[in-house]
Amino acid sequence: MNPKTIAILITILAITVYVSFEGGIYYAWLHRPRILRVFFGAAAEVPEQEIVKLYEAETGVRIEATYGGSGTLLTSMMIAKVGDIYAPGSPDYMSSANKKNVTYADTVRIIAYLVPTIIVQKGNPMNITSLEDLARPGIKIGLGDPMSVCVGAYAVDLLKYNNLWEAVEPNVVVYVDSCSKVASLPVLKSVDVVIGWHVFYNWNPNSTNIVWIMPDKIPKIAYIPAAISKYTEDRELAQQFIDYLVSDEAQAIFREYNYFATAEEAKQYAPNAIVEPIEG
Amino acid sequence: MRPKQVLIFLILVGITAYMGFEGGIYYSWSRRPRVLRVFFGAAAEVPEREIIQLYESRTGVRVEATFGSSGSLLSSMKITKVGDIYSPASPDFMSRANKDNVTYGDSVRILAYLVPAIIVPKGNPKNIISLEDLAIPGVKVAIGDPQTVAVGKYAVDLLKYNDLWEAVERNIVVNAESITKLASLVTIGSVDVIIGWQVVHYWNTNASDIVYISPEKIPMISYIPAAISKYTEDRELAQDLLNYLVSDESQAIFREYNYFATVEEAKQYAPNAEVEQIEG
Repeated sequence: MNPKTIAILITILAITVYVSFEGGIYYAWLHRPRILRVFFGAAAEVPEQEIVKLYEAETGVRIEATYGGSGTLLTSMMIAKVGDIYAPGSPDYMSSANKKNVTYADTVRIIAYLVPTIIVQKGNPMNITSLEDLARPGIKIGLGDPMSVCVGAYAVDLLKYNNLWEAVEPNVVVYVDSCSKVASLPVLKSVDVVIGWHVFYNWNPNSTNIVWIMPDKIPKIAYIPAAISKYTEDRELAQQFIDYLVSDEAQAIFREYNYFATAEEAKQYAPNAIVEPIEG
Repeated sequence: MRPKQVLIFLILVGITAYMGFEGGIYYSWSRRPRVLRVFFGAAAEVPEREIIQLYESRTGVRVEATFGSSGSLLSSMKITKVGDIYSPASPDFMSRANKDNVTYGDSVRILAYLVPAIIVPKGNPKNIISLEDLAIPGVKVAIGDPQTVAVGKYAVDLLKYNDLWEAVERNIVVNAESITKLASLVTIGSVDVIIGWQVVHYWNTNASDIVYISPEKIPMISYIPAAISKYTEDRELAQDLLNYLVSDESQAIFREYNYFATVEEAKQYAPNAEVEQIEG
């Protein structure tokens, strides 16, 4: 071979090294581990788990999802300074996350709507048909703790709005510390009735009945918001997951478990109710 | 070129491409962002910050250090399932973390030793010279909250050991939520005396005085342990930082801020005291 050929061959080899080296870097970037930490209030755990699984399968992103009391999750996120998305069980906690600088207020989206209902033991042995019936002497009522459980705070507001709180309060025999405990009270027959989200009935359709509250008595529709946390290190990916949480696909899953995916669906049961805005 | 030469050259190109590609992947891997999350009880924040800074500048590893009360940090780690190293301000909390499956029991190391002391405002206006003086009617005492703050639990144990708890309890006007707040109570003069660690005096020598406790009244030497968390995703790196935290270099920094780096140094002030064991 003449020197010129050798020079050309060496140049080709050098270019090959460079291009494949860059290719290796790109390949590693494409396959970098992508993780999102999502903190969900426990009001919609079942559909959320399903949505998370689908998203993981479609994207290869790993989602570390934690479910719990909205207040407890918020405190832990603040102390540990971690989390990509916060999705509490009610607008109140979202407002407080915004104010405490944990979430970007302009990223808040609503992922499902909830309507309050009366849930009774199967067969409705106490024959409860309205909110007023809760004031009847001898009725045993269970509520969520208004200090820490969103459905508890909501129930107290609802009763006050209808001027029933003073009459109903003496019948409240227990305040429990989570949504799932509220839902299980009538199942265990520890109370006659609870005020819960409509989906609580769907959690235990064989052992409870639902009594819808008269639409004009419902002042506001509740919902599950989600927002990007300021602790995220991959805001683009967090945004992508929030978009997925409100996608048609995710909405279909919420509907499958009887959550309302839009305000219009919820308004069938509470046409005059307002959708409470989030502060911050 | 002859066909054989062409073939050899093509093989060379293939090998070069392969090695370049692998090299690119390796290069990305070696330059990957390396982050450790460390949860420190607040009893040694100043020297720990200095040690962390040194470690970061030497290794290029980013250390996200959170300082707080040992109990709150532990519950936040459990809820968020994050953390590479947990370093509470007492052996108790380390035992609890081991039992709760948050840390590897066999990875525990001791960073610094702590001896209790009575800390009073500068000039010792109430003329407190012994543990017994804390029981004098009208003396305003503060301790750390025994539920969440290591030095608070230690203070209760110390007083009980000396049969002073019942008499002193009446004088306790504040259960502080962190050692930092406890220390500030005495420097701003809102209490007459606190039970802290000896080092608390050195945090602010202009505004506080130290009253040494008689050696025979000190049953236990406390210390700051650290262990690798089971939530770590890079155990090797966590081990590397842990080793650095107990290196000669780190010990020198602890000494500079009047912490005891070895048990012998601590025993000068409490010769008969036991060193509390960690369980789990």
